[in-house]
Amino acid sequence: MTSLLGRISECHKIQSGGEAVVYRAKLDGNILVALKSYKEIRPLNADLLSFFSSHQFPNVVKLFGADLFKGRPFTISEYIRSVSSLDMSPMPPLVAVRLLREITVSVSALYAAGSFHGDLSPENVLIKDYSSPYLVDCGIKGMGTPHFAAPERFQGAGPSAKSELFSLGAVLYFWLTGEPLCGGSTFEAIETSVFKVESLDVTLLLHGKGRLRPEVLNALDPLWQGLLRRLPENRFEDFEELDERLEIAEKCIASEQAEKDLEEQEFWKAELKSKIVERETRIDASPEEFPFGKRCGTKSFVRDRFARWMLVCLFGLVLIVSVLVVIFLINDQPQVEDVGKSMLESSRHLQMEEEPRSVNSEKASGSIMGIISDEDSLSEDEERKEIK
Amino acid sequence: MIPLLACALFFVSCGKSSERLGNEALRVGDFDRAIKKFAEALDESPADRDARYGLALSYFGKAEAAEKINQRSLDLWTKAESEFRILSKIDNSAAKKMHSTVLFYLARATIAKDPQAKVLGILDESIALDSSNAFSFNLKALVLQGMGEVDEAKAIFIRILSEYPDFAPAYSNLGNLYWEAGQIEDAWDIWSMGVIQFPKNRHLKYWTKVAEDSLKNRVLEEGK
Repeated sequence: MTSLLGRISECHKIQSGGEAVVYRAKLDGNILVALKSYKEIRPLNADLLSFFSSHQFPNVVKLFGADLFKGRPFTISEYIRSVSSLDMSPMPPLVAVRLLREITVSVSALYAAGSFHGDLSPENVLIKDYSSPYLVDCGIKGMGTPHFAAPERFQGAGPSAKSELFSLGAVLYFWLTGEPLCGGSTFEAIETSVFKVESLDVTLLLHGKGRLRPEVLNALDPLWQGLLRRLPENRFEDFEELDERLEIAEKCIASEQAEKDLEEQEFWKAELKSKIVERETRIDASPEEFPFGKRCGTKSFVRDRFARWMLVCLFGLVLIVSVLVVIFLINDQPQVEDVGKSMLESSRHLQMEEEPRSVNSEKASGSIMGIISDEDSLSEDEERKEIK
Repeated sequence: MIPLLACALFFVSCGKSSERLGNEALRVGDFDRAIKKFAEALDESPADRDARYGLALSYFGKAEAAEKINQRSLDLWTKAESEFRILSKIDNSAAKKMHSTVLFYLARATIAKDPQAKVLGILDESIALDSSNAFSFNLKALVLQGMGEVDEAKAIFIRILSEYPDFAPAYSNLGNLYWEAGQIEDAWDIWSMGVIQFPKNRHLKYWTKVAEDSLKNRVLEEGK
């Protein structure tokens, strides 16, 4: 955990929701990542995180890692310069169908790998450009966003291919209208609405909105019939079938496009680009934040890295000093050469201090050399004096 | 790499321990211990030049210490000289001056034991090893003087004084030589030169005074 946090720097808030705050941050100082910090203390699903961090799926944001900070989970994933599809709805029907096809491929790939998204909703689809949607927050274990959850999810069932198909239908409706099919201000109201989904004539509802032409409504109608069904067994067989129906719908819509539709699409694309730029500008302008305290911010990252290097250098220095000390101890013997010189100097100096012996013929045989005292010297002097 | 380096340093350190301890003992004047440690090092490696030099110096130190307190030192000088001789076979460029000094001491100790001993060979070897060893020259001159070779002795003393004018014993000894030969004026010249060179040398001052007095007495006697 510490190592992952230590690699994070330059956190700028993207958005703050009910359960988490999302930041744009840098990993290892240069990789832009999305850091999602949950507000509640809860355990991490290690298996799920391991699965998503070790697999790469088309149009699914890559998860780099996750951990806990003071009991609160955080995830670090690939950062996409994009906006949420929530902010780009309603969108032209051809764009919506094409985006849904891309998302279907992603969900199908997840399903093939034995997993599900579990919370398909407009908020969890990021749009990078005209045909590049990205799924975020994969692997939710709960029931997901109620407005887009299949009826069986309200009954406690886990995610399945069928529940994902229902959610995809609900998302498509939102993209076309900018509002959920199964609305409500309370959970119970939403639940009731979801369970009564078959009582709704979606095509008629869309017609009532007045945005879509009859040709488009006709092209989309089979999708509602295979997606927004109360019972799972009444929905499309699988994602391949959905893709085929989407392909047919896409071709129908594309073939019936009027100039006005093209203008609408261009306008939408321009708006998408503008919103992405606006969002990035807003993030850039937002103050740097330290969601894990200052120690985990930019400076702390640099500090930690610096501290690590300092430790390595210190260790190296200690090692070198130790080796030098050992070498010094070995070589710091009093060099025998130096001791010899010192002893020679001392010895010759000693000789100089000795009083010279007088040598006379009478005494030569008795005491030629040796250390003599002043007393000896003087006594000899006295003898000589007498001689002379 | 680091463990290997550490091991290498450890073994080098262990191998050098006897020699290191010998050096330490030698440095502080614990000559017996130094002899023991250097001998241990030589047991391991008899051709170890530093250990051999250390052992020779240890005997040198022990002999010198014995001499200072008037103990018999001839055997120790003999051992020291023996070690320096072995050392010269290991490294003939090493410690020549020290070897020369040892030979001087050996010659002096030999004479102290037996005044008739023939030490000129030892002194010549000492001078051959270190031609600047004025002590050996000086002792050789004294020995020659004792043997009656006065002219040769005189020549050596003069040579010492010309080459090493700061070698005080030569002034005394050359003065003595002249004094013994009855050349009181020459003796006075040499001793007074010595006094100029070494104003605090009691011996030279004393004998200069004696020579002066003697010369004055001679003049007075001649006047009578």
